Amino acid sequence: MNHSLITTEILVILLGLGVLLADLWIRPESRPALGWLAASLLGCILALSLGALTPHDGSAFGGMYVLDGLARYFKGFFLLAGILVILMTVEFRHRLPVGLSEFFALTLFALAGMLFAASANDFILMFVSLELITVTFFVLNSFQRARLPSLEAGVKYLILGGVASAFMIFGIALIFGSANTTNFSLVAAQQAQLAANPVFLTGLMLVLVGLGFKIAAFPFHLWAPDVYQGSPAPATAFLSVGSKAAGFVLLLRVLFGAVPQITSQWQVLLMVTAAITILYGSLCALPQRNFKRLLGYSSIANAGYLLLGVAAESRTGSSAVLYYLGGYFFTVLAIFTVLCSLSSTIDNDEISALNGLGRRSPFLAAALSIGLVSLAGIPPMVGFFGKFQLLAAVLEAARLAPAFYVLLGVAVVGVVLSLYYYFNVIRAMYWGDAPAGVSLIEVSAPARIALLVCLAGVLYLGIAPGGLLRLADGAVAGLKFSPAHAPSVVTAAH
Amino acid sequence: MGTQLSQYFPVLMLFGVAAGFAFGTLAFSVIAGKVGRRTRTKDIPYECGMLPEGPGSARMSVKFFLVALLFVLFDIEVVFMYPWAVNYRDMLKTNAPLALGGMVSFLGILFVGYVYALKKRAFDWRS
Amino acid sequence: MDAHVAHTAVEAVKAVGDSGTKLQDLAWAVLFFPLVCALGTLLFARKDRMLAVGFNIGGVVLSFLLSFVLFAVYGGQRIDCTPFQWLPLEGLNATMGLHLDGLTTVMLLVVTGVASLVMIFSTGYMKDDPGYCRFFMTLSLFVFSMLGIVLADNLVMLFVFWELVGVSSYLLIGFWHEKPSAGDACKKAFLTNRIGDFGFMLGILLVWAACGTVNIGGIELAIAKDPHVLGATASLAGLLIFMGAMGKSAQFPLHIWLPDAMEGPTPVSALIHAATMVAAGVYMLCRLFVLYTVPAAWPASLDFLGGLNAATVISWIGGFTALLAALIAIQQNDIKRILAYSTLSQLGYMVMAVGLGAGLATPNPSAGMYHLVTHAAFKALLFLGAGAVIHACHHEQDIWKMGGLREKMPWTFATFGVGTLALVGCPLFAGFYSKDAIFATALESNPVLFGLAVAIACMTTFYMCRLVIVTFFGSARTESADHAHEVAGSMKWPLVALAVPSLMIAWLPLGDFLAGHFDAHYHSHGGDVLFGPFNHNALAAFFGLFAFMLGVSAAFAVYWGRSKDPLPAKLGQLSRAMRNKFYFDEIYEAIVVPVHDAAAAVADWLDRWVIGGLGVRGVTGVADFAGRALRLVQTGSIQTYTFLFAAGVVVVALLALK
Repeated sequence: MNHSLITTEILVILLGLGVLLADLWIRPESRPALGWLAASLLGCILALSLGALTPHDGSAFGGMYVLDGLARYFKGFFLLAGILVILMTVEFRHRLPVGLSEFFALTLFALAGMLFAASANDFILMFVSLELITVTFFVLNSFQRARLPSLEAGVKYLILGGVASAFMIFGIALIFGSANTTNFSLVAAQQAQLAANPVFLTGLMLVLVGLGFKIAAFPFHLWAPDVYQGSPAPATAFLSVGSKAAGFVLLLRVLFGAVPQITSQWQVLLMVTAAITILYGSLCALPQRNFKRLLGYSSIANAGYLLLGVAAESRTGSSAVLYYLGGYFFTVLAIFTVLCSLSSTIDNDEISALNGLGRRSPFLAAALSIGLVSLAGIPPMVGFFGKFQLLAAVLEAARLAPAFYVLLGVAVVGVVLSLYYYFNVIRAMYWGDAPAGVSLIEVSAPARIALLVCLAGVLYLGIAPGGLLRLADGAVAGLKFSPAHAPSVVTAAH
Repeated sequence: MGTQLSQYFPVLMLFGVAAGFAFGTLAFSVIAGKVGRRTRTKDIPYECGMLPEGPGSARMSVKFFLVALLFVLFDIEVVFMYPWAVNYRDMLKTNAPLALGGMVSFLGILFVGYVYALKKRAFDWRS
Repeated sequence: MDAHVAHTAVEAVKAVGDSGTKLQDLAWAVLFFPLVCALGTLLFARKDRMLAVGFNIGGVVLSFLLSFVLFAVYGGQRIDCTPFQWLPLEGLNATMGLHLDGLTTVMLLVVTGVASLVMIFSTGYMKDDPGYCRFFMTLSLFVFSMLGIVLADNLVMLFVFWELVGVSSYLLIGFWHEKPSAGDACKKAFLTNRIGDFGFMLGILLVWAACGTVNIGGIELAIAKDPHVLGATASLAGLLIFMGAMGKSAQFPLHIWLPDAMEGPTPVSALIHAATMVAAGVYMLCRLFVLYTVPAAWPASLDFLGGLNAATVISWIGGFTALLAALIAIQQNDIKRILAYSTLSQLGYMVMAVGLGAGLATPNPSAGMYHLVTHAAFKALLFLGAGAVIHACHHEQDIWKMGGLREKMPWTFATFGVGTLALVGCPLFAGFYSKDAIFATALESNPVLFGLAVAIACMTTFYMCRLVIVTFFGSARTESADHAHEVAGSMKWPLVALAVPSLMIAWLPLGDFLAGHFDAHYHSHGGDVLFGPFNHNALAAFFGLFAFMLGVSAAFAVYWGRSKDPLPAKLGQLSRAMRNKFYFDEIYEAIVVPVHDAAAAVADWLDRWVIGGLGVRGVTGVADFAGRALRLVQTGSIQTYTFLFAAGVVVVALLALK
């Protein structure tokens, strides 16, 4: 029992409240400065939380909350993502006529939700932290309230998110009804009996449905393209990085922390989900003309790749998921930072609007290209190594269950398809004709810094993956993987 | 196992009643109503009486919604204080700082919301 | 020889075992300063000239100072810096490491020293160029790549930087990309180098396959253990690796790109195409010299080559290149082209010396390396001097349109004179000593090539004196030469700074130091460094002196006081062939272009119909159709979405709970 473990979360919430209050007294012109201040304070929190604030691992609130390697790994990324998203928002301010400070505050509240999610060791805390994230995103997604697509995005996220939450809380109720506890560790202790209990299994399945919604896995992905397209770019960025990562950390905790034994029975389900998610995202992205919608489909496809690592049900697979998320984080934030930097000069998100960007702003075009090339999985970018790790885990699993070779094939097809749609964008930037009478695009210093951080991450992690890989491997040390993969061979044969 | 499932029998009954109500009313109106016989007179809002004037739904000021939302917000939050107050004496014995600190931080956050609403002139009817 | 290799091996093992962060890790800083500066310029100083200059010169000078520290601390010790574990995976352990020894530290000093001076010179030379900042950035990038070649401890890393050097050279030759000739020249350089690099890569693969490692220390160790470890591919691997040097160091038949590379700005020619990059081939041969000390061996299909040694082939190619280039240089009129052919000729000299070094009783390529170092100093000086002359004559490059610059540009004349005397091998000047080392090696190893070397030395003296007489003496032959005046300080002082080593570098025991690097039992021939050559091998030294005097007197006899070249009339057809570079470009065009076009036509047909038609379009058609069909699901209607969501729950439930 150590309540000081949640110091990081408390500080983030206090920062959010502080921003909200500060906005009441400052002049509107200094709101961007407020963003910079918030970002730098968040930077201090990040620096402190790595060691000084919470030096020891442990659990609090009756085992509801744990601080371990996995939690620390994700907290680091969430905090970094928060900083970059706030910097991005400052860049994006021309398209947010009102409520810039509220946007910062909401981002911080969502961040607090993610931080709690990283540490959740209880279905209740999991639900509450996910709700904190989801409810904040209802507002963030519909923030441009004068713009219909943004409102549409908000409403769609609200209704489908509500449905998903309903399923999840119903599932949690069933779990509590059958297991008499909501704590992951206590559930894990009695999973041998629970594995045969259909009520428990139904509840677990419904919880996974809720998580599937968060990570946009098939068949709960339908919201992603519309919401990605309509939401303001910083919100989309945070959605695709933070919210997805929160979904994955909880997925890992539930599958390999609470019910590893049952998970091994559901391997085929995970495999099928991963395969269809990859194919669906990649195929739908092919004919896209809208860049943000394209990124929505790309996000679905990437959820599929990440599910490969989950489906492998091994330590390699899970550490590959963590590594891939780390690389995905830098890549996606680089892309969205470019979009935000463009927001003041380019007024729509069509791919054709990027025509001639290579000449209008070589820096932004280069940054966007690096991001897209990394998403496509080409060395030496981090995306390549992430996919490499995931596929290595799949290959390893294929030694026990040959059905994984099919999954490998599907993943390769997805990668090939993705080359087409990502390079389409690059082609528009460098070979498309810029509309007549346009000027060069200036990039502000904070955006430059944010982009440099992201690009450095993309390149460094791609060239020297060792450090992060070791970190990821250490972070998943606490997860349990059912050693016997034998049943899945049988089921896969059906 | 069987007994555990049978505990959920009332839930199943609730499902049945809910579904039965939804489908039943629909079915009843189809069977009992004269389907398909529509005239102009039948389609107006009041089949007998005055003809309605103006738009059907009167526009209300958005301020009503705002105030209503704020009322619900602050009113409902108070609900959390009841169970806390009831259990406070017991909690003092086990974990006093958490018991008090939890409520203080809750009220603190609520207060920030109140200040925010106040400064944003959400309570100012005339602005 | 065995003792030397064994010593190398023991040292290599010692150094690898001895890790942890140490002073030698400064080498990483030496390597990365220029890159950081290039990136800094790219990001922050693309418009700000002062900042760009400060960044890049600062970075390179800092690298130079650190190199000096490394040299002072370690001297000739063999040390491996803490390697950087690139991919710590099972079964695939790729490391990146740096290696320091006598050879590399000397080369570090040469590269960073010349680069610093060339950059300072460029601040004046490029003053009015719109691409000022880009120029410095690319130069820094080049320095980074070149230092990578120098420091790399394994062949893969060496190859990566080898290609990076090729890229920066491409960018700098084509610096004035609005000139079509510059565009053609940079493409020519790049493509010609690709041919060599292809062989280089094959050679690396052969060596890797045989030795099981790409680490140079490891290869030395493997060969020390068993000289036949390379098996039947020993000579082939040596020659393939030499192909890389053939491209970079412009050896026949890949020599054609270097003269055209003079389309780049003159400081670039000085740094890259005279002092450092083109010498990388020679340096690489010295670094991998162990490969050329193994007995000759050929695969069964090439058995008829018998005892032909890779080193012998190398020495003949070097000698032939040197002769060819010297002949061409005699009849060139463009000041930069004369220097370019002279560079080519001197590179041939170095390559020949390395090849001959393998034939010595105790194999030792230090003569070539020694000449590389002295050549770097005086050829950079000559190019910068030529740059100053060109700058002063308003970008006139024809020497017959200059003349009489001696009085107008006294500093340039004096320093250019020092450079010339060093190049032609005047006693007391650096070139005399390094050439003498080559003569001595040749005399001991192959007397025929010794004769060739002396003849080439004679020609070198002849065409260099021709250049100086025509350019600086007599009277101005055009208006632009008449209006020339001395260049500004930023250009003058680097010339002076380079003139000092051109004269005095051989007064240091550099030759002995390098020889000692390759041969642990090497002992100096003793006595005074200045008169060393006469003590060591008097015959070679006298021949050197003789070649110098013959060349000088011939040049004065032919050119003193002339305003037109008398040789074309006397030599007739031969002169025309020399002027036209023996028609190599034309021959290549006649052979390579038709073959290339035919191959391209076949490839085009295959790509268009087989790969494109059947493969790509078929697959994309299916994928595109599937994508369009799936998009119909995404109706945008929230009712549909909710329905599908719920349907999904049911499907998942069926799958999960069956």
